[in-house]
Amino acid sequence: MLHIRDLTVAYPHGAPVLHNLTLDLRHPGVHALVGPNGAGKTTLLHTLAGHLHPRAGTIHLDGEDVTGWHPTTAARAAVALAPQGRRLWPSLTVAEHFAATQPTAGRDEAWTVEELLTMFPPLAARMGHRAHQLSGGEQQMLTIARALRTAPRLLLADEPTEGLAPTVADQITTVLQGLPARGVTVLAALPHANVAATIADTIHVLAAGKLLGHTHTSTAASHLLRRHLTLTDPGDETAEPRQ
Amino acid sequence: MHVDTLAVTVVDGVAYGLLLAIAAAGLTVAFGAGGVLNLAHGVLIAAGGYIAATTTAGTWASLVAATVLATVAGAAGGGALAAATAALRGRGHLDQALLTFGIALIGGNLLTTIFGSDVLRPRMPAALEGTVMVAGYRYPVDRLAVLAVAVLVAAVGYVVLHRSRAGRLIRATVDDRAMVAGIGVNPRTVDAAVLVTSGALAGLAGALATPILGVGPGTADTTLLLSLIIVVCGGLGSVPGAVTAAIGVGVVQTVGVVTVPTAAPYLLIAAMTVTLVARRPTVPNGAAS
Repeated sequence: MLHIRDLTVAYPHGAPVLHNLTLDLRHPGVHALVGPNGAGKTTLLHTLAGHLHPRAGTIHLDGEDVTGWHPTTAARAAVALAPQGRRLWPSLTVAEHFAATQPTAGRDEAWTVEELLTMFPPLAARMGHRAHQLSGGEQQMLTIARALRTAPRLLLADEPTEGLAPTVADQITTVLQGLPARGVTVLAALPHANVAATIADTIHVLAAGKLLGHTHTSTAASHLLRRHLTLTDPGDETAEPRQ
Repeated sequence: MHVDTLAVTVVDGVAYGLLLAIAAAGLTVAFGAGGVLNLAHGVLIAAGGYIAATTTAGTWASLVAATVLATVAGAAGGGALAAATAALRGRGHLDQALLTFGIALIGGNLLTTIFGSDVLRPRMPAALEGTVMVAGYRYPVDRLAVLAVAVLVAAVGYVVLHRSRAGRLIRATVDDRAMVAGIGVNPRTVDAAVLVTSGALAGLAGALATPILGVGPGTADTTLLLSLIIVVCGGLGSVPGAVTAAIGVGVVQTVGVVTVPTAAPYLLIAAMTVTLVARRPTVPNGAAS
């Protein structure tokens, strides 16, 4: 459904962060982007969501060329971003986040607020609270819920479990795993291959702005990553956890 | 001075402050949401005042017509400014400030050319010309009416901003406009809507202020300066901050003139300085988490 060809992305006045990246998501499901900090995961997700414009290369979504589109267009084409750092609206309450966000045009299989609250029960008790009053886990739940409320086909989740307690992180990953059954393909940026392997159908390994390869197992992904990292930055992620 | 007079003066100050709040709320939201520093705001206020002064003819119908006409003219001016500043998007506040300042100079001269250099006052219906006893104090009816309308407009504004989807999208745009785009709403549409609404409120505030202050060649500059003081003291983009600051400015202006006439010209600047020094620095579009 998503085809990325020779994508080069740079921040204004900066050196490219992604170099000639080619990546295909052929089937609906959960797909993981794995790589160390600075690998370009966030840059790729922001480019797909229209917040950054590529310098070269093409992006096709379901056969349509969407290279260089704008965030509004991306959202209306049912591509939603749950960004790193959450980017909630601090002066709006949880209820107001749901009220301001509506399914984009023509998406009749929309997520109702009731469904989203069933999916994230802690939010139901926090409807009157402002975003900055929520715990980290609740903020992440609201970030994903806001993205789902737009009724996306493709959910881009950037570090969805970052900084969360393991039980909360498990709640989030369980939700992400269930999304393909509801017609939502997930592309999630994750720091570790072993987390990715437990929830993702395919793992794409990214380092220093290049795709090192893709695989279905964490062993191969870790191997790819470790081989690259020992070449470039042996200090990072040397203690790879159990497989 | 008399306690009675002071009480009446404070009510005057609150009424004046609410008018300033209506005028400045749009200015602060336009800056907070779209980053548009609209220096032509004062001209829209003055235009509303002139329309009110020249359309009213002592009848209720002409009063209603004047108010509506001033609001519509303000909205049209806001729309023109939205179109003009949209072309400068991405070029920073200074370019927009220069453009709107130019529009302000031209607009101010046009208003003086059309309406002359005298201070004009509206002709109110006879029922609003007298005074009335309120809690033992004699108070002009027209000021009470202005106070009532100002309270009503402020209340409606609060409800729209906090209870409607449009209002929530405006507040979300002030917080983080990229994420508004991320839910499929074009933030530039929000910017334009804010400038049109802001213009309408400026026109309305101008019309409402004429019975109290009149309208003349100095109106545009004075109201712009006061609005900017309110926007800065209230915090860029913050409507509750603007309302608080506006009432503060209104009370300082009116009570100050009556109680310490010699220091009055400096009171507002002193109050502004104290506010800015005492306030914790705030970052517009602050970090979400």
